[in-house]
Amino acid sequence: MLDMVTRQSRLLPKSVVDDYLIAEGAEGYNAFAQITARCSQQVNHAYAVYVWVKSDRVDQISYMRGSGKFGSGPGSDIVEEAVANFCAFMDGRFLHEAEEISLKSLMPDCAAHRNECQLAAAKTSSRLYDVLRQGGTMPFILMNWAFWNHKLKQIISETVDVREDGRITLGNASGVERLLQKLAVIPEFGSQGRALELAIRGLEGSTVDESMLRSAYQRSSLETLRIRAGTRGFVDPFAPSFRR
Amino acid sequence: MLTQDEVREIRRDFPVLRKRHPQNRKLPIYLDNSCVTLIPRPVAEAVWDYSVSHPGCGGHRSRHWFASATQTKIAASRHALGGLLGVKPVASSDGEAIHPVIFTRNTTEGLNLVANCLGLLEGETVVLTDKEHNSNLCPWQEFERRGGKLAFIPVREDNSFDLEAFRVFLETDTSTKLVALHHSSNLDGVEVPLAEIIAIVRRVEREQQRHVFVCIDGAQAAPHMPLNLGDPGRPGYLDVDFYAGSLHKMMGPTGIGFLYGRSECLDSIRPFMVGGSTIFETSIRHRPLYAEWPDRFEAGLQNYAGLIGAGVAADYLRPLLADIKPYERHLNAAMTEILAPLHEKEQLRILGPLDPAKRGGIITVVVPTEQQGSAFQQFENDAVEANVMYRAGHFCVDSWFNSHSNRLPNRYMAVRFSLYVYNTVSEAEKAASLVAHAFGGH
Repeated sequence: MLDMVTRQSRLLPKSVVDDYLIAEGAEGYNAFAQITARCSQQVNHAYAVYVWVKSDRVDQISYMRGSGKFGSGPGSDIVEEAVANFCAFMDGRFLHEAEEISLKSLMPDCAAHRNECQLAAAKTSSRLYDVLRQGGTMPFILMNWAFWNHKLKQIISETVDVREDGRITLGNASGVERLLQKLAVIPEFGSQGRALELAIRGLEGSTVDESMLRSAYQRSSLETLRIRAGTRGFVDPFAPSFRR
Repeated sequence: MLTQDEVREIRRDFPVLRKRHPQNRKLPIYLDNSCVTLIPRPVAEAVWDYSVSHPGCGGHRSRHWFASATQTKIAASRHALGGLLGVKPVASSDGEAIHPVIFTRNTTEGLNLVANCLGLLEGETVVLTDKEHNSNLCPWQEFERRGGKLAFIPVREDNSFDLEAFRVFLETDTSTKLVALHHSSNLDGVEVPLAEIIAIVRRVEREQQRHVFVCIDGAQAAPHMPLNLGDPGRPGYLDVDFYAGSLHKMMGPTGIGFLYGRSECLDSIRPFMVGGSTIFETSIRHRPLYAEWPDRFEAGLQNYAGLIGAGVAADYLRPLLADIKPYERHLNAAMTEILAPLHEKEQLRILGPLDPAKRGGIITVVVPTEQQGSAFQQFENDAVEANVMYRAGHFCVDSWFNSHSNRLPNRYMAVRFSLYVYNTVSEAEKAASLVAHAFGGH
C-alpha cells in the first residue's frame, strides 16, 4: 500500500507546483496512467499523470507522487522531477506525440521552460540533462500509457454504454464479445489473451481508470516501452525494480 | 514407499499423537485428515515464535523491526507455498520475484473470490460435477441466482468422472465460460482426470476461438501429491487458471488457505474483499484505485502467525509429498481388505470404486441404520473407547447424497476415514476392524 504523502514536490517551486500538480485527485481528466516503482531506499513510490485531452491535444496535465510510508530519496526525487518536466513538455501537444518523445527533443523545451518557471532544482542545463536522462524512462512510459488510456476510452464509448461519470455497462456476454473483438486486434491489448477478456469483464459498473484493464495493458507493454525509452536516450537506473 | 519405521520417525514430529484420551488414556488414532490434518512441531513453534518474538503486522504498514521481521517471513511463506505448488514466480513492483499465490482463509474463500470476481455474466454457464463440496457448489449457485447457468456432469456409477460426457457437453455448449471442479473428492477420495479435462478445455478453446476458464478446488489434492501449476516444460503440468486449497489440510494452521491464479488472470480480475492494504490510493472524491496482487486480494490485517506457520508447513510437506499418495493407498488397501467382504455381502457400502488405489487416502462407508441402529451406536461407542477419530455425516457434499438417495438405504449413516502420512497400518486396520465388528458381526 502506498500512502500519498507527497502531494507537492519538495524540489519544485510553488509556481510550477500550481501549474502541474492537481490537488485532490485531479477531477476532470480523460487520460490517466500510474506506475509503481522502487527507486530509492527500500520503499515503493508511485507516480500518476492526469491529462485532460481536448481535440486530441493536451489541454491540462498534472501529476501526483505517492511514496511508501515515510519514504523518499534521491532516486525517487529525480523521477519526480523528470515527470514534472515531461508534463510541461506535453502541455498543448497532441497526446500521441508521447510515442515520439526523446531526450534530444525534450531538452530544448524543458530548458526553455526551466528558465520561464525558474526551476529551482534544475539550475544548470547539465543538471536538467542528468535528471531527464536518469529519470525519464518512467514518465516516458506514463505518457504512452496515458495515450493508450485515452484511446481505450474512445473505443469503449463507441462500443458499449458509458455513463457520463465514465461508468461502463456491458449488459451481457455480447458486450464483452464486441469489446473483445475490437481490442484484440490492437497489439497492446490483443497480446493479453485470456487476461484481456477477464479485464473487459471487470469493466462492468466501473470506469476504465478503476479497472484492471488498465493494469492489463500496462503490464503487457512495460518491457517494450522500457526498451523504447532506452533507444530514445533515457537510461533506467531503476530498471529491475518496477513492473507496472 | 514409506516404511513403518519412516512413518514412526515422522510421527515423532506430531506431539498430539502422544496425547492420551483424558478418560481411557488411549493414544489417538486420528483418521479425520480430510477435515483437518495434525500440526507438526516446527509449524507450532513458528506460530508460537511469531507471538513471542515479533508480533507485528505485515504488509509494509509499520516501520519497526517487529513488522519487518513479520513481513520477511510472510514473503518466505508465499515463496514456500509457491514452490510446493510448482508455481513460477514473476517480477513484482518492488523488484522481487513473487509467486502468484494469494493467501485466503481457506479453499472456500478462494473459490468465492473467483466466483465473485471473474465477471461472469447472465446466460453464461459454469460446468461442475454432481459431487462437488458445498464450497464449490454454493458460490456458483449464487451466480445462478444472478442469471447464470450451471451444468452438472453426473459422475458414473462408481463415482468416477465421466470424461466422455464432459467432452460432448463442452464441445456443444458454447455458453460455457468456466469449468469448476474438485481435483480429488472429499466424499470418496476419487480423483478427476484433471490433465485430460484440461486438454479437452484447451482444445475446445482453440477450435472455437473462445476462452474457457478452469478453476479447481484442490483442497483434497494439494496435501497429497506434488503439483506442477506453473511449468509446462516439466511433467505433470496442470494448465489451470485458478487452484484453491487449505493449509489446515496440509499440516498448517487453521484459517489459512491459498488461491493460485495465473499471474495475468490475477492482474485482470477485480478485488473481492477490499480495504486495508488492497488499495493503491483512496479519496473521498473518487473510487479507490487498487494495488497489485497479492495485496489487492488480501484485505485487512492478516493472520500473520498462521501465514508464517503455513510457510513452515509447506517446507515440511514438500519433501514428503511424492511419498504420500502411494502410502495412503497402502493404508487404504489394508482397510479395504477388511471391509470389502462386508461390501460384497451388502452389510455396508464402500463409496467410490472398490479398488483402493482409486480412492487415495479416503474410505467412506455407508451403513444402514434402519435395522442396525444399535450397530451404529456400538461402532460409535467402540470408536470412542479406542480413541479412533473419524467423520460421520454428509461431509459438505449433501447435494450428492440428495441426488443419489435412490441408491442409498432409507436410513443410513456415512462414516469417513481419511488417512495421512503419519497414520500406521495398525491404526488403519484397527479402525476397519471396529466397523467390521459392528456391522459385519465379527
